[in-house]
Amino acid sequence: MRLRSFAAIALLALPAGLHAQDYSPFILGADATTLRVVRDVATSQLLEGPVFGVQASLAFRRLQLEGRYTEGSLVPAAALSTEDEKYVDALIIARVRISSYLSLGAGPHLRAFVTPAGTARWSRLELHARSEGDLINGLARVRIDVWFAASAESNVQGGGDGAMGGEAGLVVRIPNTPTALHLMYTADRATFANGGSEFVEGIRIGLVLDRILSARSATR
Amino acid sequence: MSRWRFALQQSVLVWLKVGSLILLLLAPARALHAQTPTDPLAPALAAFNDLDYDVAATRLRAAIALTGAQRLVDIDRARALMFLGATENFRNARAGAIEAFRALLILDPRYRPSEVVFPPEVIALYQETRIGVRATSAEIAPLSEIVIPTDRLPIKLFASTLHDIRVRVTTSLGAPERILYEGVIGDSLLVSWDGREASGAAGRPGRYLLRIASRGPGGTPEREVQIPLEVEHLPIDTLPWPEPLNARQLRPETVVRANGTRQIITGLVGAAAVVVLPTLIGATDASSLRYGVAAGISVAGLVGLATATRPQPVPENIAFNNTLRTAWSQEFERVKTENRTRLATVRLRVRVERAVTVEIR
Repeated sequence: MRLRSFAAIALLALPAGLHAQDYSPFILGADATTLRVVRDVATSQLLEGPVFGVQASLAFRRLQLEGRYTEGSLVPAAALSTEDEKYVDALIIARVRISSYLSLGAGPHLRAFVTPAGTARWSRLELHARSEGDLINGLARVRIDVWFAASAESNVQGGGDGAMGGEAGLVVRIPNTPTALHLMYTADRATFANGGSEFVEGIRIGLVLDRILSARSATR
Repeated sequence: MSRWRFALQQSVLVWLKVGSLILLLLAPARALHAQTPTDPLAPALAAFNDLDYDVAATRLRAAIALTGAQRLVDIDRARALMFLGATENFRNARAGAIEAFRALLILDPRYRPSEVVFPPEVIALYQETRIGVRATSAEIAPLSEIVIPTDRLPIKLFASTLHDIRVRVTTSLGAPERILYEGVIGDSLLVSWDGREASGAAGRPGRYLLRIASRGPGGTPEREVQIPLEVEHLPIDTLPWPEPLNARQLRPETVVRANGTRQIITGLVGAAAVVVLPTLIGATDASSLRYGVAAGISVAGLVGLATATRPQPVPENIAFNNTLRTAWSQEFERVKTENRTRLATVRLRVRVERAVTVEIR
C-alpha cells in the first residue's frame, strides 16, 4: 500500500513538463517554517509553531549532497495538548541526477520531539525522487520532492512502522542576484507500530544562495 | 681576227659582269644593309659608296633637312649625320665633319660608329669631337603610372662624355623647380622623380618639363634636353565596403520557445501535488494553508503561460551573430584604414613627349 502510494507520488513528480534540473555547485540557505504536527496516538495532539532551519548542498556533476537542519518550538493548539515541544529535524540526502528532470536520492533523516517528559525520536532511511520544471522561464520553477522511508525507527508508540512524505512548491529567482526564494509546502506522515500516526506539515519560506539560477538569468 | 676580238670582247664583258657582282657583294655592309627600296638614305649612301662624296654630302644634307612627315627617324638621322661627317672628312672639310658629329652626339650621345664601316681617321675625329661635346639623352618609359609616395619615375640618362649635369623638373606655372640631380655623369646615370613638386606636394595635373642641362667646365649650362611630361591624376581605387550583414546570414536571436502548454501543465501538476500530497500520504487532517502555496504555483503557471509566448533570447544564436558582427566590424575597419591609406596617396599618369635639345649658349 505504501509502495503504491509512493509510486503514485513519484509519478506525480515526473510530469513531462518538469525538466532542466541542474545542480548548483554550492547552495547555502536559511528558512522558516510554520510547522503543524498532528499526532493521532492515544489522544489526538496538535502542535504548531515556527521552526527555523539552515540548508546547504554541494554538487559535482550529476551528484549532489544536501543537508538540512531545522529546530524550533511547538506549542499545543487549543486544549488538545498540554506541553510545549522542541522540534529538531536533521536530514542528509545524497542525490544523483538521472535525467534532465529527475533526480533520485537517499539518506538518513532524524527527527526528535523533546518534551520535559522525554524525547520522541525518529530515525528513517528515506528514498527521494525530485523533479523540477520551469514555470516562468528563468524566474520561477516548480519543485516536487517525494520520499518513502525504506526503514523507520521510533522509540515511542511501540516503534515506527513506516513513513512517507514530500514537498512541493515554488523556487523563485530574485532577478539580478544569486539568490532564490523558496515557497514550499512540506508534509509527511509516519505510522507507529501500535497503529498511531504522526502527521507533520508546514509552509516553508527560504532564501538560498543559488548560483545556478543566477548564471541562468545571466544567459537569458 | 675579228672573231678573236669579238670573243675577247665577250670574255671581258663576262668578267666585267662577274666583277661588278663581286664588287656589289663586297660593298661595305653597313652602307648596304639599309639600302632597301624604302631607305631614305639609299641615294646618298649609293653616292657615298661610289666615292662621289660631293653628291653624297648634298644628298645627306637634304635628307637631314627633311621635315614634317618625311623627317628622318632618329636612327636614320644619326646614320645620316655619321655618313655626313665621314663624307666631309673625306672631302677634307674638317669643320663640316665636326659639325656633323656634334649634331650626331647631341642627337644620340651614345652613338658609336662602326669601325668596320668607317676608317680609323673618321673614328678618331668622331672620338675627338665626342670628348668636346657635352650632351645627354634620357630614356623614360613613354607612359608610366606612379603612386605617391611609394613609386618613382625612373629616368635613365646617357652622356656623350664625362661632364656635369643638372636634372630638374619645372612647371609651366612657374612653381619652384624640383632638382632631381646635380653632379657628374659618366657614361650613364639613373635618376628618378617621385612625382612631387619642389614644395613636396604631389604633382598636379598639367604639363611639366624635365630639364637635363649639360654644363661646361665652369658650370655654365651649354645645352639642355627638355622633355615635356604630361601629368594627370588617376582616380584612386578604393576597396568596396563590406556587404552589410543580411537577415539570411544572421540567426534569429529570439524565439518563441513554447505556446505555454508546458508551463500551464507544470503549474497544474505543481498545484495538484501540493493539494493532494496529504491525501496521497494518508493524512486526513491537513490544514488549508497548502492552498496558498497551490495558488502561488497556479499564478506562477499563468504568468509562465503569458511569458512563454514572448520571444525568448537564444544565447547561442546571439553569440553566433555577435561573432559575425564582430568579424564584419573588423573587416569594415580594415577597409576603412586601407581606404584612408589609399586616399592619402596620389596616382599619377605621366606621359612623356618628344625630347628637345636646346642650345643655351
